[in-house]
Amino acid sequence: MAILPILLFPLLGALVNGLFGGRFSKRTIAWVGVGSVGLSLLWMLLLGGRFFSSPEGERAFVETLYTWMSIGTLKIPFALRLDALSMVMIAVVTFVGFFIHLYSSDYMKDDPGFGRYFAYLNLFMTAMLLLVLADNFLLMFIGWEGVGLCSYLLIGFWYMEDVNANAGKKAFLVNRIGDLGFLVGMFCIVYAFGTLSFHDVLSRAPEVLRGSAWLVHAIPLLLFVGATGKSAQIPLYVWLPDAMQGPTPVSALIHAATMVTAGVYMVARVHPLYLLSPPALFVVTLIGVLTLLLAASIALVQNDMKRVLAYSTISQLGYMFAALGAQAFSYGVFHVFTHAFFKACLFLGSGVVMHALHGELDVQKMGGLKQKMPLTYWTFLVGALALSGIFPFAGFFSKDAILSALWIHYGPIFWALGVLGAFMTAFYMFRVIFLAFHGETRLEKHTYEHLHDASPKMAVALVVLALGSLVSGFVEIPGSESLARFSGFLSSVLPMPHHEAHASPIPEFALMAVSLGVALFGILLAYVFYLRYPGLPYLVGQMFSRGYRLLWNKYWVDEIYNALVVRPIVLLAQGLWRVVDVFFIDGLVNAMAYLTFAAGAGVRVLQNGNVQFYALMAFASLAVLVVCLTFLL
Amino acid sequence: MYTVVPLLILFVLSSVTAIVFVLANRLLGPQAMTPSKLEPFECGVEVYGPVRQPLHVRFYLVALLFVLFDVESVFFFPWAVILKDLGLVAGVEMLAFLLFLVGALAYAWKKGALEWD
Amino acid sequence: MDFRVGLVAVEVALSLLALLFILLGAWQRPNTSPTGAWAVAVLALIALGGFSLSSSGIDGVARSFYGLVVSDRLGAFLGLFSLISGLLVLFMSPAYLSREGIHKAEYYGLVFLSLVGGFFMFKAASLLTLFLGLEVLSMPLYVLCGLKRNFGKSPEAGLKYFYLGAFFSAVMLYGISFLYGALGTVNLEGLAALAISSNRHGLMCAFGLALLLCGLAFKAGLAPFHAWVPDVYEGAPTTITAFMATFVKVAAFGALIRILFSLPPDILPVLKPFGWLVAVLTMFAGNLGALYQTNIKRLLAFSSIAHAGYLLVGLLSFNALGQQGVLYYLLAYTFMNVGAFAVVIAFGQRGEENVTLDDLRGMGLRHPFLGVAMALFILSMIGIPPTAGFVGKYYLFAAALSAGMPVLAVIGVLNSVISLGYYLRVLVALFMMPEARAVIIPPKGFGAKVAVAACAVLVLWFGCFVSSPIAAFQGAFSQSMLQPGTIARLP
Repeated sequence: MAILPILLFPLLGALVNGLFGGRFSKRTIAWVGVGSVGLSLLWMLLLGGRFFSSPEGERAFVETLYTWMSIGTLKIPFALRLDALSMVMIAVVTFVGFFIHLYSSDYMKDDPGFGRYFAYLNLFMTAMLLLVLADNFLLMFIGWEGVGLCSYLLIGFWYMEDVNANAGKKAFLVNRIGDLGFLVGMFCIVYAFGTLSFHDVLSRAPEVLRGSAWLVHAIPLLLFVGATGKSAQIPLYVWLPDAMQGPTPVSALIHAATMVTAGVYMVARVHPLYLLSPPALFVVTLIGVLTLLLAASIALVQNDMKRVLAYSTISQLGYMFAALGAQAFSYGVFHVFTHAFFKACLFLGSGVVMHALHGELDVQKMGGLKQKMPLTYWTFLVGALALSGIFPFAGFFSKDAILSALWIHYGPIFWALGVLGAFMTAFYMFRVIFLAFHGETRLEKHTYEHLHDASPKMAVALVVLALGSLVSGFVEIPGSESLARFSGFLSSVLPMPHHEAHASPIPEFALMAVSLGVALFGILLAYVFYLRYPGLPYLVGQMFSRGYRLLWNKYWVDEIYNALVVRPIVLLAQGLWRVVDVFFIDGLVNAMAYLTFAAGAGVRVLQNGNVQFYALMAFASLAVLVVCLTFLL
Repeated sequence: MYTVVPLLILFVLSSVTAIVFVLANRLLGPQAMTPSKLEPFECGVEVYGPVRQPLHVRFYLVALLFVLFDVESVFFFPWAVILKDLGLVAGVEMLAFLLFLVGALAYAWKKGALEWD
Repeated sequence: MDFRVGLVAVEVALSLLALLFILLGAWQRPNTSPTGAWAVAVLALIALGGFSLSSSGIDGVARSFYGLVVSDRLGAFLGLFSLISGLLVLFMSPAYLSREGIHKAEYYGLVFLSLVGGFFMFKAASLLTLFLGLEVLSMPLYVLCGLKRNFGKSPEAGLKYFYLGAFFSAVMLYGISFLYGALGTVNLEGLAALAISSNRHGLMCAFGLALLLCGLAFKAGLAPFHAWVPDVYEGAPTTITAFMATFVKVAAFGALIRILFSLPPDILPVLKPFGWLVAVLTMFAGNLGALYQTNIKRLLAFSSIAHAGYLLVGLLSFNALGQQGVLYYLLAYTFMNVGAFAVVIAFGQRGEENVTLDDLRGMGLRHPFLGVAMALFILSMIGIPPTAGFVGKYYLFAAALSAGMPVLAVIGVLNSVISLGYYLRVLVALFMMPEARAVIIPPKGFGAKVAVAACAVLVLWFGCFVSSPIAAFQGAFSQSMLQPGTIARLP
């Protein structure tokens, strides 16, 4: 069965909507846009059926359509590869993508750019599917560039406001910096291997690279530069928080199914190259852990619901890279898999809230939404529990697998940092939940009365994704070889992660209990701060009343705690956000742009339109060149 | 470089000669400046209008046509001299050249470039 | 050594067509647009293209015109590119020329004449043929640039181009005279005797060669001889800008290839650093200059300078990859550039045809066909797959890498990133800005739309199906009249 149609359906949808969208009714556009991805989903299921029905040893299909180009002896075919890894990825992309499309058809129904929106969205799907199905680096690069381009178009979708257009540009530019690394890495691969096919490069990697002192490290590191751009890691993560300027379903698509997972997928795909270079593996884990801590701490102080989710994505991507660096490649992909469900669910939920509140996203101004929007609340809660890693939700299994891999490979310190991240995750997610959905409402009465829950199509998407967040973790039960079905399924492509039997003196269940406890503690703390005593300032004002002295003392403990624990974290997070994000990284990017434009201005001075001056310039250059040439030749 | 040296000597000599004569004229000759002597030389006719007045564009047209029909027809002389040796091909080629020249003439004529007014 | 008219049939036919159309212009009634002439011109070019395509498969080398003109695969391919460029330009011409009130039959005659010159440039077997070709190419262009006499910048462009062009023609001729003096021949094979160090005429050779290369660099718009490009491209009628940006580049690079590959190999190591410097200067001058432009024609002019720089990178590699890359990029560049200018024409209006970025705002959404096509051309210029521009760039930079010039390749890629700064602004204006003007008149010309559609399809086509053209280009250099042994001895 051909693999290609899965790509062609959305491409066709994009073409039809892009060229004729202006003439169609919104109904037709939605049918074309959602339907084309639906067909892809169906096709994926058919492919999956065939995949599972074939014997285990033969589960890798390569479909070569034609030779795309040949450079000297280097032949690059247009070939698609379906193996266990790409099967998982297309399943995630089409499944989550389909429900995001479905949700969009309602969410965007009042937008004048409806046809354009679906054209971009379908193109995005095409590019991502091409990225994960490509059988060689160059074809993957096409998808890689394609998702960058589409994200640029979609983030800047509401281009009427400068902020959005700028956010789009920022995303594209930062991505291109990463792409530069990827491209140079690809050149190095051509140089070393003379081929770009995954199979040839990966199977010959040990013999080819063993002799080379620097290529063995340079190739994985350069490719990783590309991954940091696409998957929003330090130092190239800055585009992702701004990327939420686009329509909310787009954020869901970028954060969950497409785009950011590309880097993780790529590293997993070429893992034999990484296995040859322990330093590169360590860099991957280090960057991952640093990113997860930085992003999680920043998320603690944000009041914008989508911004919290954006930083949480960066943080979760950090976990994935940490797992990849710890040689637990299938755990990294496992986290991609579970994360897709709950992050899409959370983003779509925040979209419903945003819709109901007419664009308001500040959690400080919400409160009490639970009563008016029960469906959104419950699905959001499921997503948050999964993200916080609470048993038995999906995030628990994948995060725990990653933490144990960190313990085994890099020791307790990295594990502890991961657990600290888990604690912060639980805290900020439930801070959002308690502030937005619980307690007394802080909205105007009129607005609050007219709140509406998700529309039917949106509700379907939310419920399906929430169910996914609930059950998708059970495909991999930690601590048991026989129940590790997910990594077992992937084992034809990715090596099985090491288990505790190898080294660790601490039983895996103890680690699990600790991380679960820490996450629960985070939720509890959020509860205390934002729900149990939300009127803390008010009560402090009451403290002079003698009758409440005891009570006041009790609260004093909280105040100290606040001052000693929360304030420093808040300050640190703010500091990090200000210094690192705004000053250092934005500053660096701006300085580069400024220098380039200054040089441009210099060139412009020479271009003064005066023909005598041109002639003089030409003559002077001529004289210099001719004299130099004459005497050197 | 040996081939260039005599050329260089010639160049220097001729320059020196020219400069010497101009300087000698300037230094030795009597110099009595009167207003009429400083006037631009116009064959005894009264000076009218500034010297740098631009010429009418017609003159350029005439100059161009001159280049076309006079200078290009110089090409015929060497051709005529060795026509016998070159044979038929050269004859045909010159006819082709003439064709283009006649075409150009026809174009100029039709466009009115040959009329003064 | 004889005439062999069959080998120069295309050139002869073009010359006769040129004469015919110029005369037609004289007998054309005033205020009538010669649509019939346009149709004839287009048909003639298609026929000639077909003819040269059918003869592009010829193997080996043949000479005609008493040994002054050479027919080989390289010449056939470059001729084909030139005809394609001319054909596309003719397609978009009538609508544009009628709008600007300069629709004259002479226009077509001059375009044909310029094409003849280009053919003789890259089919030259002698320096004099090359020079003659250059002059025949340039003279009609000077006139065509100044065709819009009522629009101030157009005569200015023509005049500027003429002054500087005449200057560099003289420079080139001066160089050729030195080479003749030193070598006693103007044949390109004679250049192989240019053994600089051992010959007692070494200084003369070097001086002559330097002047000759500088003259060609001017025509190709390479820095530091690029200053004329933005002004001339901006002032010239847009169709002619498209023609110059593509066809003249093809001709100039063809001539450069002819000369560089005729040189003895021991000169190349000395020439390379200069080429390196010129390539880097050109890329930076083009890309940095474009950053501040708001006029699309000027922006594209600067970008064309940058593209010349990329081409030079491939040429300097002196390997098979680079040769294929240069031909591929010339082809891709022809389509994306003509296409982009065709879109500029379509969005322009009479008189103030200076389409600025502001004027383009929101047009991509109002006219999706033109918008999507323009986006495609821009993406191809950036070098984003799967467009022809990406493939071309990939070959060029890969060639530089395999020739041991990684720094040049990295500078090239870096320049591609800088170029995003202005290319993105075009896309932003097209798709991400509110409309600036309430009413815009889309072009009535059917031909312009055909040209845009053809370019768009071909940019995609050559981005997706690369193997067969590359295979065809592979033989273009090895089976050409380039000094035997030169290629074999290259690193």
